[in-house]
Amino acid sequence: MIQIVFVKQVPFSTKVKMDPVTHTLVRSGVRTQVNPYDLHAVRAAIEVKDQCGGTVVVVTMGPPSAVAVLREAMMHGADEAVLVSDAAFAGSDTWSTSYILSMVVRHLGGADIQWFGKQAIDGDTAQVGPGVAAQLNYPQITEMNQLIEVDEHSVTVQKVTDYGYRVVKSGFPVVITVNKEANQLLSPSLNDWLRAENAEIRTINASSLQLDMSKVGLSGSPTRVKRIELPSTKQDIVMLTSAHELAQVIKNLRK
Amino acid sequence: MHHTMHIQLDKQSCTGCQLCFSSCVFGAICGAEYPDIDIEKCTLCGVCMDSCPSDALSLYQPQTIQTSSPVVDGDAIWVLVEIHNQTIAPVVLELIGEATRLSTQFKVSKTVCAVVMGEVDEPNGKLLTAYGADLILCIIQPSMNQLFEEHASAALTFLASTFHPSVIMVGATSFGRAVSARTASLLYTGLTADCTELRVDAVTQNLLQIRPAFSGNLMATIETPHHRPQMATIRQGVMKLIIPDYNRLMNIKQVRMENDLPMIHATMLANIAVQATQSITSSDVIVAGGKGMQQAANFQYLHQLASILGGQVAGSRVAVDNGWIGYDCQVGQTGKTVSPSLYIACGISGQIQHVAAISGAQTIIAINCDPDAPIFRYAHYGIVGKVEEILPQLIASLQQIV
Repeated sequence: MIQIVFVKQVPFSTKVKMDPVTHTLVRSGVRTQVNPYDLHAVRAAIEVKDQCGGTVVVVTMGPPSAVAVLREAMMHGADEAVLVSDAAFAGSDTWSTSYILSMVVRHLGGADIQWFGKQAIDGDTAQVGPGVAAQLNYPQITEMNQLIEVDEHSVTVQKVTDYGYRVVKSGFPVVITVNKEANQLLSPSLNDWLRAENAEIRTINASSLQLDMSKVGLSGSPTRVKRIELPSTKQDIVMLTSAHELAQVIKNLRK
Repeated sequence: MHHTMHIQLDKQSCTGCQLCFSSCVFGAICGAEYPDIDIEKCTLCGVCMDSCPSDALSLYQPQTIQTSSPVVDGDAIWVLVEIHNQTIAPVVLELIGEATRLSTQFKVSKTVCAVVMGEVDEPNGKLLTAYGADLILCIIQPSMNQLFEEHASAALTFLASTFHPSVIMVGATSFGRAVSARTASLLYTGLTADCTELRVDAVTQNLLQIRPAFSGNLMATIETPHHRPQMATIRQGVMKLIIPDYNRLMNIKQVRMENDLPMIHATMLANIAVQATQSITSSDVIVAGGKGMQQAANFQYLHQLASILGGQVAGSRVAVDNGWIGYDCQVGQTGKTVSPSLYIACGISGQIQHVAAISGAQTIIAINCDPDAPIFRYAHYGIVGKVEEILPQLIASLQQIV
């Protein structure tokens, strides 16, 4: 069985610092990590591999520095790693990213299960998994919170819905996105670490993917960022000095 | 000279005003006189291009890249209707209300259309109409299972390619997020997740979609200039209902989908409903605790206060991560968005992820021991002090006067 797990490099902390003088984001020296949901996707793939055998390939799209997240994913058990990197991909929105990743799946010859984290903690869009499924015309299972059963022909999982849970079964190929509750991560051993550090990482660029270049990068992305600003704050706060005063305010508000 | 896409400067037009320097939130522009763009820091967001009064900054694109041709912009705003056990998801009516407000911001006002997968019953049809739908579009395909994300996306894609709506709004529910993402991918159009505000650009007539970006530290205005429909998801509690008018005329149109549905889809084996406890999103008063509560035991004050005020207790991400309160009660970008009439933030510092999720609250009261906590920039009333001292006094005072 072939499985592909897509991982994303995200800032280590979501508390990004603002420079108080220039009001710009302090980005230099920002530590990065694998999107936490994606590690649970890697773990799910390993659990499937433990039962069915085969190969788990981790893929990330990003700058050359994103190899760090591939190594981290390999420490958690992935067999192979692929970096998808090209300056022409800069500024890709979720549509373009889904398009590029779907072409990566085709380039790699397809997989039985393509795994994604439920969402990335920097953008919180949860769009790329279903986006890739749509491009490939694969079925999709979003928000898996339990892997129930898997064999060579199908996978059965429990997923979260707005009203509870649903048990769904799908044949292959399929796209599955994973919640943190789906499994427990194991701490990598020294051997895992050494294997990941020394593993060879394949790089794929735009020229090997047979892409329609008018659909990638900033200019191929349907969405544009028109403006970025600090969240508006209001200035007219009334400061109170005692709990009793606060009680009066609440009483008046609740009239 | 770089051959990939980048922001380029026309030195002939540049006046050296340096307005672009401060426009860049990534600090990518500096220089002694003329702007020098650091391509390592530049995210190609294009904000500097808008800031330049003399149009000296532009986007360099390699020749092979063509910009897409203009597309049909229809005369309708659609809202995808999600129905569970004959009940319309609350977010749907909020979005229809927002659609009626947006409609009038266009130079030529748009039709507000509720899109239903399958037939709609009389009471739900009346409800959608009363809350602002001019038209209810029902898509009929006998073999469709509306719970399958693949089926719902195929049906919505078919409908949108047939009728060309200008905008499609979808509730950011678990189902809505999955269906909208699949649909936008099939339609090759833009989708903006979790918008907190929608507006219409007076000049371009594009939908301006405002959402938290960069881990919620900044607000981004996003548009879909050359693709249609313009798709957005919005969470429950962000948009306001309009006052229902039950005298409005109900207008239902059934459309038969001739195309086949995708053969491949995930099959449902069981559907397990979990009895929902009363959700914080529907509570009129919320008393929330954060890191400053220090320990689980201090949450008893919040429960007492909530009980006096007839409200519910919620928590920040830190409170949930520490196990002081359940994930269902988390307020924030990864939790729930709330819009109560009163929100009391106790020991919550006010990270933007949290604040963005309470912007719909009518009145925010903040109790925090740090006078510089960001929460005081958003609150209407504030008090500086330790929560474990102020809360018992507040509870005692309220017991006397309420």
